[in-house]
Amino acid sequence: MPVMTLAEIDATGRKAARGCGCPWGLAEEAGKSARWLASHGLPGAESLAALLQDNEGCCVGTGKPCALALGASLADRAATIDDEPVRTAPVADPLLVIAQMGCAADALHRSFLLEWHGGRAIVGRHTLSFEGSAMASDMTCRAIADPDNRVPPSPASRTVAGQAWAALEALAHRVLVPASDASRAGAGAGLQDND
Amino acid sequence: MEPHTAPLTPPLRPPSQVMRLARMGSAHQSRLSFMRSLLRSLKRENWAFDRPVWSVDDHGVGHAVYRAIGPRRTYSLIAFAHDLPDDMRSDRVIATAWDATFALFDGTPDKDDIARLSRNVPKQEAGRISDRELSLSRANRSVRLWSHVVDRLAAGQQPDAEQINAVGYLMRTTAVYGSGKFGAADRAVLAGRTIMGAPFHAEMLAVWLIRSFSLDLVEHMARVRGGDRATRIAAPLRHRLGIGNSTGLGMAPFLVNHPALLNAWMTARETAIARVRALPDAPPAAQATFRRRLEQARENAADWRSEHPVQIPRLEALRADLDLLADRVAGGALDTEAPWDALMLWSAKALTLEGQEQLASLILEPHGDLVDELTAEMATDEADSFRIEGTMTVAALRSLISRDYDWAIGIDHDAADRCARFWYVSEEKLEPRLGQRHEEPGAEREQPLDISRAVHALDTALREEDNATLIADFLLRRAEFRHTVRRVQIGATRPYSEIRENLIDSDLLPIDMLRCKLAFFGASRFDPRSDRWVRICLYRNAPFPDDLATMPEDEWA
Repeated sequence: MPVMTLAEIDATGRKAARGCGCPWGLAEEAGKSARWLASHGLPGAESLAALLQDNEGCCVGTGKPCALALGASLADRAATIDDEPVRTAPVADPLLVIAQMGCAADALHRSFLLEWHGGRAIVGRHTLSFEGSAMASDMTCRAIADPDNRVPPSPASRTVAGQAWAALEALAHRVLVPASDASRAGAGAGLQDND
Repeated sequence: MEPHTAPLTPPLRPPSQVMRLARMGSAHQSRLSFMRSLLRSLKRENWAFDRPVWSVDDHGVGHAVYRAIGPRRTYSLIAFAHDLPDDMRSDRVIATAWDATFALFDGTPDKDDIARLSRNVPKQEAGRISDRELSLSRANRSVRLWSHVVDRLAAGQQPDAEQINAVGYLMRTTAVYGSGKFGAADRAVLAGRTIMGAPFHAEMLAVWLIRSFSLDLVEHMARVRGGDRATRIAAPLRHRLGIGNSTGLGMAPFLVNHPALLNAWMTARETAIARVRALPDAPPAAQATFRRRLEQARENAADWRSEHPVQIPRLEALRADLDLLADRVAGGALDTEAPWDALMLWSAKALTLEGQEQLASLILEPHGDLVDELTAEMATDEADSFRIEGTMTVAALRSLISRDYDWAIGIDHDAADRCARFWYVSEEKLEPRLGQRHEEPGAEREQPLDISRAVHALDTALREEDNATLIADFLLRRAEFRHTVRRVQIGATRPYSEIRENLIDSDLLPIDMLRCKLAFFGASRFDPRSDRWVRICLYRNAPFPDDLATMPEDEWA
């Protein structure tokens, strides 16, 4: 299985989501979510690859927001989430919602409890506790008291499932512009370099 | 209650003045530049340096290890020297072979590490490094100067000073990758470290050690050729050799893609300038330092060459500006009240942007005690500024746009010249490029660097919304604006986060973006080779590892 840096998981995740048709802003959340999950030992690149492959294009405008879009919307409102549970529409994969609330917890120094059929997760600044399994379900999210843990996860590289990584790279490839005479000439002056 | 004696924080130059490309493209290195802050830190902490491995054959092929040993950590540059045919030598990032390749290792490498790296580092992007490595880079020789120096040293003679001045380096790097690229350690690995936590200090350390390697290799080749007759480069000439660098479009989007970091850098520099301007007088010691540094700047401007039609007149103007400045100082400008502020005010009317920005850097020189601490503020955790605050109202976002983006709203982005370019990433080498929207294919795969156009479109869309609508609700319907909303919110508390320029305009000069960043690195002698790539010199006149301890602190740049 390939070993990838967290920066590579972030960048490839972002480009893959964009390649799938997501707007750039949401694609940025996709990369950050994959990175966050991987840093906490969860299958971030794999979850994102599965979502992007299932979606066959971005959910935006279809009226059926995917886990990425729902998670982004929930995280956008994280500052006002209190102990009253907020319920989401059903999502195929709770991990991508958890990741975005995890990023929000990091930024806001707050903690949230997320629950779904099959599991629960608590995210706080730099922390995650996860029970059960990720399965399709609606979710609830509420704020809880801040757990006292401030050690960030290791920034070391992580192994990624080969098939998932290949899928992300194939999607990421779609944001690239094929080589042309113009692109080759574009960056340099075309001068001799033996001087 | 004790009286508050801290100096008032003087006003900083506004972003509307500072964040324009014509001015950013006139930036000069300063005390806050990363090369200088790195060498100051290494000197103050008494770092030791050695070369535990030198295994290079008579053809100049092999490897070497250079170590920097500090009180807490050791870093090692592993250099691989190759025998590159002239017809394969290209400074373009799309090259596939180089005269030398390098990795900066976190610690001291053992034989297995070196064997692993010898299979990967020479391949650069096609290889794979690990969490133990902090950067990956390569360099080519300056063929002209290299041959001259080997010939002379082999014959027991010193190289010609004029030729050394004209080129300025024996090798030029063509890419220095760090921060999680190609398997290298993630930026977060370095984030908490005392010296390497600062932006680009790991990359700048690698380049400084590459400079030593370039000297060692040229002297090695001279010994191979000349045997006992061969000599080494004598100290005065030796220090004039820096490391060259060719930088193209690949670097240009960096400042746009890292708005919080750009804000941190610009805020540090502007704060430093403002602190000096607030000083009531210039004591004799400060005056002496300023005069000495001004003379160095004049010498640098006199030696600085370019054949580019944009840079030639700028250089002439800079030399004239520095003459005017020297006259002004000789006429007693430093003996007035608030002399630094007065000089800055005078320069805004009397000098070109090149001269104004050179002066802004020069007034920091006598004031290390006042400004050097600001380098600690130049790193930033970008995760802190990533989250969109969805509880903001449409009205609040619109008022941010009208405060920070008035310059963008007035642009007619539908006019052909105002949207003439598009930024993209090429499939061939995964590098950023700039295309002609109306002439080339690929605009549907555009990168989001069309900031002014995107903010304009966001503003137009927000006009259709109720003022009390929450941004979270707006974005649920209009996700295409997430990227732009994030930028506007990042700028809310970071006034220097945005280049205030239409980056898809037909008149854009990408070299202005490159120069701003390279000046923060500490580069000098910007020599544009087109409107989109530039050659520079790094560490010219800087100490080497073996004389860092004995040379005066931070007097070289």
